[in-house]
This record gives sequence, structure tokens and C-alpha cells, in this order.
Amino acid sequence: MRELLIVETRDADEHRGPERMVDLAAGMVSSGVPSTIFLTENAAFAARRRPEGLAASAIAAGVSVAVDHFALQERAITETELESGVDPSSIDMVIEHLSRGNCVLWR
Amino acid sequence: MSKGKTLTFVLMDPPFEASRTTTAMRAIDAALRRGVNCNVFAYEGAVMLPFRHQQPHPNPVHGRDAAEEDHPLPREWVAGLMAMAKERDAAFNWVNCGLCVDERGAGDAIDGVQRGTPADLWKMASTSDNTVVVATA
Amino acid sequence: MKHLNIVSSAYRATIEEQDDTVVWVTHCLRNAGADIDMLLCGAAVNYPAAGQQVAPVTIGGRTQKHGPDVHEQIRTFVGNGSKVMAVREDLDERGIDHRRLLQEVQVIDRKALPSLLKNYDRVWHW
Repeated sequence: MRELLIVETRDADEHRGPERMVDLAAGMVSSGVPSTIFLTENAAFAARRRPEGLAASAIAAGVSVAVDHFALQERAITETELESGVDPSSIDMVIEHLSRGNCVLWR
Repeated sequence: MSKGKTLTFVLMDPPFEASRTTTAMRAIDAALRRGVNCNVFAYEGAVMLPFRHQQPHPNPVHGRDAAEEDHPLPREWVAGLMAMAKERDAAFNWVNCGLCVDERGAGDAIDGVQRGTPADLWKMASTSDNTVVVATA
Repeated sequence: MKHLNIVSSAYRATIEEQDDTVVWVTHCLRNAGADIDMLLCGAAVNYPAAGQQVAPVTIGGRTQKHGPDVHEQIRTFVGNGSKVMAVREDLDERGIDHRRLLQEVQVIDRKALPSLLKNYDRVWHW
């Protein structure tokens, strides 16, 4: 596996799944597989800066975190509110990863 | 870098139930815009996405008639993706899982939709550069 | 190409469908030629728990003949040479006694997931 992209759609305050995905991504990074989490839909809430947030812990573990600009706008989350290190991005990121043959898990 | 590649998407959600459907359609749209060939295997409720008999409706809460409301219909999105693929010289195959079609009475799909089985999913996935499953919750 | 299907949703429409449809499609993929294994996580780890029974459902006088039998689905899948695994921590969080699991299922630690996934050419999460 060259790289991993997790497309996360679930609100981390409502589900435990996103935390599990961060753990998986962190484990993949530790084992040498660059990993990214792309937050979209209600998972975009996790992109907001907050104490001990999921995005911060993912970034601290070496996971890249990006967020769908479309989902940010839908939820009135401005780029100035984002956790440091979270990159605004677009749905094209998913196609780029797929085209490169990377493993893409859509949650 | 993506042009000429082939991707397969597996969808499961029925229309009008989950934002996952819109996000997946946005991804397929993005792929076709880049000239990526796309296969879609519609499993379970997703076989209703290209159902021919979807109809727009007015919105009495907002005081809009059907034309003014201009409600997007997933079958229009599917037809639009087919047309866009043609314009961009990309292949686009939409295959509905046949047993899922039967149990939902979804047989009357828009032109261009094919009926298949999980063996077709395997064939598409085996001949694609990559595959992603957008499963239902 | 080695393939892994990760199944996390469980008991979703299983009565209507008379199967778990993701376990079912995994069988189909294998029958179509896929070299495929299955990993159960989240609520799906309950699938191998012994003692499950689904009485036929009657609604409006219409009685179902065949309830879902996910144990039969798992046994048949493993019997044809594929592996079924379940995540230990998900079992423990749900208080599922490992001794009550179908013997066909291998229990693996969550921390082993990265190296497990790396063994597969394709991983699909359902």
C-alpha cells in the first residue's frame, strides 16, 4: 500500500468511528504508509480549532488532514477557524488519490 | 495525470436519504471532468438513483411551483454525467445490481443504465486502476 | 490480487434481505474469482457470536420463510478457503465472550490492523 486516504463523513461528536479512523491512519503512518484524512459533510465540524480536537491529534500523529471547502462553506466554517495544519481542499483530492492507486476508504 | 485512468465507484445509498450520495456524485463529476473513465456499480438502494419516474415537485413552504423550485433529480445527474463523459471522450458505465433492482421494482431506469450482477462489479474492479466503495451507514 | 472487505455495519436490513448484504456480496465476489478475505469490525463483530436466532417475521399476515443466517454465511465463506477476522477491542467493548465465537473466525488486535491492511492489494470498507 503506497498511501492511504480516508474520506470521513461522520460527525466525530456523534460517532466513535472517526476516532477509530484517526487511530488507523496514525498506525499506518507509524508503519511507513503516508496517510491523509479528508473531512467532508458533517466530519467538517472536526476541522474547527478546539482543545484536544480530533484533527489536532491526527496531525500530531503525522496524519495529513484536509477538509472539503464545499462542506466548510455549507456549515459557515471559515478558514481562520480551522485547526492549525488542516488544509482546505476539494473533492478532487479523492480523485487524485484514486488515480495514483492509493487505498481510499470512504467512511 | 488522471486522464485515461479508469475508476470504479460502488454506491449503496438510495436517493434523497444521505449527503453521501451528493458527495459521491461530486467525486464522479470531478473524475469525468479530468477525462477519467468511470464505472459505477449501484448496489442496494443506489439502483433507484437513475429511476426513470422521479418527478420534480413544487415547494409550498417557499411558495415556489415545480418549475421555480427546480428540484434536482438524481436521474438528471446520472444522465448529465453520461452526457459529460461523451463530451470529454471518457467512458462511463452505470450498472445497476439486478437483484437489487428486482426487489425494489427499479427496473425502469433512464437510457444507458445497464443491469448486472456482483460478477460485473468484480470485472469492473479488476480492469480499473482503482475502486472505492461508498457504503451506506 | 489479494482483496480485503471490511464490514462494520451490522443487522442493517438483514430481515428484509434475509442476508447481510455486504457478507453476501463478498461471497459473490469470491465466486466471481476474487481472492478475498473479510474483516469484521464495529457492530459487525457480533456476527460470529453464538446463539443468534432470528424467528421468521410476520407482518400483516405475511410470514417470512427464511430468516437471515449470518453464521451460515460466515461458515460457507470460510469453508471455501477465505479468512474471516474480527477486531478484538470491538468484541471487548461490546462484552462479547471470545469463547462464544464461531471457531472459524480469527480474532486480531486493533494495533495489528496497519500491518494486516498492508498485506492486501485492495481494501474496501463497507
